[in-house]
Amino acid sequence: MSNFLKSIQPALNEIVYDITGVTLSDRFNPYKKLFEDTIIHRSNINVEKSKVEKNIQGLKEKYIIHAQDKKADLLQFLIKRFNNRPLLDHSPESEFHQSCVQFIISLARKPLEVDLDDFSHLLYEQIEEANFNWPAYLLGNDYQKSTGSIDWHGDESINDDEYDDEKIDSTFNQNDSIAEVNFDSKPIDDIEQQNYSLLNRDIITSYWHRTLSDDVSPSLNDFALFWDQNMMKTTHLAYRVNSQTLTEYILIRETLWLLMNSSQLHIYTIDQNNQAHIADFVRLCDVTPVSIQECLEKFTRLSNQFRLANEFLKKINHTCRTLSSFAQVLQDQINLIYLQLADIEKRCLKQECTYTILLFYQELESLGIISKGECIERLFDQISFYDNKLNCDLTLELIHILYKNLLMSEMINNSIFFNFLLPLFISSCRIYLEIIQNWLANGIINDPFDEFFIQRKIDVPVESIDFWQLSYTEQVENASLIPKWLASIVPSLVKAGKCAEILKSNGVLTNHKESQSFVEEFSKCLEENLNLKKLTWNSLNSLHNFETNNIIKPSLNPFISLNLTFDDIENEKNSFLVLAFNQMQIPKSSLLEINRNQLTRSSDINQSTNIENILEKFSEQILLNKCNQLINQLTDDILNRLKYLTHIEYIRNFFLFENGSFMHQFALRLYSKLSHTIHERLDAFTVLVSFDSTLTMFGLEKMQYPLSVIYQSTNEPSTTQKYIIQNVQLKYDLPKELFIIIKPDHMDIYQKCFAFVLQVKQAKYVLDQLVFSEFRVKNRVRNRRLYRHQSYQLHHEMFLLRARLLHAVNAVNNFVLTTFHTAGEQFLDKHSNKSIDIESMINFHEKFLTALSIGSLLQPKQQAIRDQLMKLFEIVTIFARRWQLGFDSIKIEHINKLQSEFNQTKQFISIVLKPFLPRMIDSPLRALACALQDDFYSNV
Amino acid sequence: MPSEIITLQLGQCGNQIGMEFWKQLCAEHGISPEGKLEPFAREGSDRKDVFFYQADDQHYIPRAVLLDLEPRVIDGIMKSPYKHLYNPENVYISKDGGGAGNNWAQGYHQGDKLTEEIFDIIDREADNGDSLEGFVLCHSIAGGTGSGMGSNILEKLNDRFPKKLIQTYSVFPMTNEVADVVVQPYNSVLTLKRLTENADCTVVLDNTALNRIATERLKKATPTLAELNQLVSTIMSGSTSTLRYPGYMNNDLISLISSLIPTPRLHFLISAYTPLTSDNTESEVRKTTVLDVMRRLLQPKNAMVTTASRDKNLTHCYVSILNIIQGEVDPSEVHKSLMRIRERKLAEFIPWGPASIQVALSKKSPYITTQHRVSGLMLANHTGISSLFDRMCDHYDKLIKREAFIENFRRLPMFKDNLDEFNDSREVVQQLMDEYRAATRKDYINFGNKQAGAQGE
Repeated sequence: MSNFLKSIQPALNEIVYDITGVTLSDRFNPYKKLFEDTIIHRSNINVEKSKVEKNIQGLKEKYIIHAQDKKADLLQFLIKRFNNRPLLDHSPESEFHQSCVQFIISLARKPLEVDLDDFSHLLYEQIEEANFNWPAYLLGNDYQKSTGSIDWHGDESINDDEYDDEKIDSTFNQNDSIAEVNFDSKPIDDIEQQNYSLLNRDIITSYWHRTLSDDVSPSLNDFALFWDQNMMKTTHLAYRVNSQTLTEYILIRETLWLLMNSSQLHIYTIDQNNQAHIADFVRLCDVTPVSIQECLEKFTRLSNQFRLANEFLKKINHTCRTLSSFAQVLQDQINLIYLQLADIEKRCLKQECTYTILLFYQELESLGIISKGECIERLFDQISFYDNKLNCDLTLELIHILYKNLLMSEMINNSIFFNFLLPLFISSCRIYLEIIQNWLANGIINDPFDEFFIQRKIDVPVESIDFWQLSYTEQVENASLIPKWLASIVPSLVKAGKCAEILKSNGVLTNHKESQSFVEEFSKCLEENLNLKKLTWNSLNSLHNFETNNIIKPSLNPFISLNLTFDDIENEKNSFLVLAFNQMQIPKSSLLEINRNQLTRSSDINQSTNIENILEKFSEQILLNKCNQLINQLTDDILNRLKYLTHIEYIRNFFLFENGSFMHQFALRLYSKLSHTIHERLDAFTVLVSFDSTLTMFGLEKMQYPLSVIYQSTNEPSTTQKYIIQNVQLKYDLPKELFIIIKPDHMDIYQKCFAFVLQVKQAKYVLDQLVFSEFRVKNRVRNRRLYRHQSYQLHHEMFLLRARLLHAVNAVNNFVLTTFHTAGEQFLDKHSNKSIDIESMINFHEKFLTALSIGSLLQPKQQAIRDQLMKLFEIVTIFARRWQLGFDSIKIEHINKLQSEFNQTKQFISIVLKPFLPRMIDSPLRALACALQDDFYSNV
Repeated sequence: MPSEIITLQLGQCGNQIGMEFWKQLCAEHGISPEGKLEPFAREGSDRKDVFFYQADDQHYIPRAVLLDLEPRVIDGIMKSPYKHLYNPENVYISKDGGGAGNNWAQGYHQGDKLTEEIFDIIDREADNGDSLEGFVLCHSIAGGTGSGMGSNILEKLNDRFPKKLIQTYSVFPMTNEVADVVVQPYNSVLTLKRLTENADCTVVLDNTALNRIATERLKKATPTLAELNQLVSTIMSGSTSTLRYPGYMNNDLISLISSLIPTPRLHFLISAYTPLTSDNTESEVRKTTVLDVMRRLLQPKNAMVTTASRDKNLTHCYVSILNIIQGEVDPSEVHKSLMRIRERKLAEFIPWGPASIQVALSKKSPYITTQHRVSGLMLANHTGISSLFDRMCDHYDKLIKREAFIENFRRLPMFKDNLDEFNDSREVVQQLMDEYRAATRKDYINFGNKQAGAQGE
């Protein structure tokens, strides 16, 4: 201890000097002693320093939240001073207690007008030795005045019989003309009296705030604290009832707790008539002073529970709308709690009725305050609002935790929890719902703060071919945080969102303005199903109404409006105040009634209507419905406006030759036109002109036809032309809106298919054209010559080779076209399904394309077959050319060569296809393998 | 761009089956007897322009030329509800009005005389289209006009349109009964020569078989001519359905024919159709599947030609088969059916070349309700057809031996000096039969050598 004292000596000296202006010397030993004691004592209080700190901090925040920044500063100031300033010693005298109270009452009432002379006798008595005018000092007044002339009028009444040593009544009546304070006496039980009589109030250390300037809130002048130095455990508080605002009650309470090193508290109230009462805490708390403490502890604990929430509310940065929305409702809820709490405290302190502990707790619980406190504490324990967290993660976590707690509260059937959490939950979901609604209605995610768990990848524009796959990503770290009711529709939601965006870019997105907002639907759905009606929202709704409509009618409650002049009532946004007003207009009984009703109603919740079910129902009925609407709208758009299937049909008809050999003829004409000019340098213009004239030749309207031609000029010298002119391609003009399904590289596949079928068709065509008109000759002479000629065998060989080639080419032709046709029919079949949507359309189309690429042997594995087929087509071409050149020039070697080449090719293809033969699964390739067998029907 | 086909209807029989054919086509395409498109058929995706063209007033007019040497049948057509359908310019009746008197030579001679007028019509009709694919000739080979004038026109068509396809629907006379036309064997053999040498493809419609089918399948005790013609028109419309309802395969006449005909002479096709229905009888067939249809098509009793499966120690066989399946058919069913046909060995094929059953799937007309889901038409090249020719030649040989009824022929220029034409025709038919028979054997590959050797001697 001595070491400690030594270590604080310099500081102590400084403090004393600071306060008294007197250098510490032996002469001032008593003071020094006092300071030492105080510091030691304080070091005792500060055993739970952190707790105290926490409390102070919490209290401060509360003020700031209530826009009482000034008071917060003052509080801090007060605390600081309290910590720094010494406690004044005073000689133990029983009268002094009352005198002091009197004095404080005066101070509290008119701090600047108190005539310190009136108390001089008190001071005189007390600080006679030091001759120190401490009230004057404390008040910052000129203390020379008081020196020597102390005349305290209250002397007589203090010395009343009530203050006899044996029987010290805890209540006392005092008529102080100067201070105009009346102390009403109140009868109490004997035991209580005894308890009081045991109180040792001889030594009072007092402390109060010194009003240094006028701009200090007058409310702070309305209370004073006394601290019994010797008892160390007793605190005295005097306050004015009628000038308290709710805030001040809280302040008092909090301050009290700060000072609650003492186990005893003496509170004096000053009523409207300036009568001081000893606040009857025995009656107030039913039992021992420890209970009093408990009572206050309760308030403070509640405060503590709200602390994190308050901290959060203060810190909340408005870059996350969900958090803001949550914060707003939380704020409202906390305000409500504060209001209710203050109401209770006020009643306690007012001593208007008798509270037992039980009653006290009951009252707290009837308003659900204790539960709510727990609830808030629990919430903030679970949520970690790290600054470095992504907004979306934060938001999801918030919603997740709220939802989890909501579920839990439902499970344990805690309706207070539930009713408290529900608005928080709804408000937290609000932004998500708004974002979703906006997304679905306008095709864009309006999410400036990145709270939504689905994010649009900006570098994938809607025209991009990867739009469907890449445009939207889920950006959550932990997908399990997405609430189940929402998670179940996320795929549909993303799909619908994409649909909306596509529809928007297609310019056909229609906003159904009349449709209710999701947020409204959401809360409506919850309310209806939970049988909440508007009750949960009652206070808040009216609060909002007040806020928005600004219908505060001060005239209705002159009492309050008059007494609250010092508060920033002008600030319309001070919802707390508005709430207070609003709430005060309602009689207490009706408030209780409402609360009770609320409780009973919420306990009526049908067990079967589970919040989970309700939310799922909501997401299914409202969200999913809307999603499906959009998806259907796009489907409808694609099918009906963009005529997707018509395009597919065109593509099938033109590119896949399903509508006959029209395209073959067309291409044939075009290429023959072009080959007339092939000797000149082909250019895009010539190609275009030829194309146009071919169209005209076929009697096709250029504008209506989705065909166009592209010419890729190459630097190579004129390409060897087999069937088609390589760098002239017929192209299908697809509306670019359909790129979402048929991507440009898909069109390439179509193009390849087309090129392949064109070759097959050409081979077949060339062979088909080899009719026997040569031998159907007009004159019999020639005919006779044919059959009787030596070379007839050669002819016969040609005929048979033709038949065999035709057989092979037909088989290929059938294979290719049957594959295309089957795929096309299946594709169409799938689209006749009513429930088709864009995603399945994309899938079906991809499957269709795969089937097509198998049909045109585009698959890597089929390359060998394809090569051989090309060879076959080459043989066909050579054969046809020989045939057309005339039989006279044909030599048997030519035929033999062709025959052997054909046999080789066919053998090769047969070998490649052999594995397909024994398979039981029917496939086009198996059909091809079968068809290519010469002796298929006899070789069983 | 359509591949137009011009239909030439010759003689009594030709005009009658032609008439039925156009009736059927009108019904299938939703064209009224006046040639107007019915309101329900406006949106059709069918190709009407293969067989029709549109007049200035949007009426559909058949690409048909109606020719006869006597007015009876054509007059009948012109009094029918379809009188406004045809282009009157395309109807030609010989001014003599005397007919050919069932005399091939008369018909041929008349054809010669009327060449200018007839080919005026045909040329005009041919120039009418952008891409004429060929001609379809309907006639009977037994009478005078269809056979004689038909032969003449076939030869002339060859001259004028050497690159165009010529297909005939030739009605062959009854061979098992006493013929109502005594010179029928002469007419037939003479016509058969032209069909062999000047047509690309002949669909043989054997009256014997048609009668048999009408009695057996349609349960008609005495089938009327109209009923038989209806059968023919069913075949005709069926075999052209892929041309008229564009599908993914076989959209021109030539692609249908080319794979069926391996060598120039082997172009006589038999046909079959199932299930057959007529207006007032209930069909025997209740359920149709692709396999069902294909199986039935291979049954000889359904073939429109009576052929023998064996004769002269030969087993006849299919050279090639084309099945046109109409209706809602899944292509995979086709493959399965083919596999089954193979397992059951339902079809015997030539031993010397690739065996093929081509299957063309075709849409059905949406305007005609049929009892059956699937119906099928078979066009097949079968060596057994030679037995039909054989029977004809038998009759012919008997007659020519005695030079019976030859006088009528001698009166006309072709036979004025000699009967070489008869011998020549008989020889051509014999060669045809020989080739068909040769085609049943494996050594048909070397048929050319033999032929050259045999003929060269």
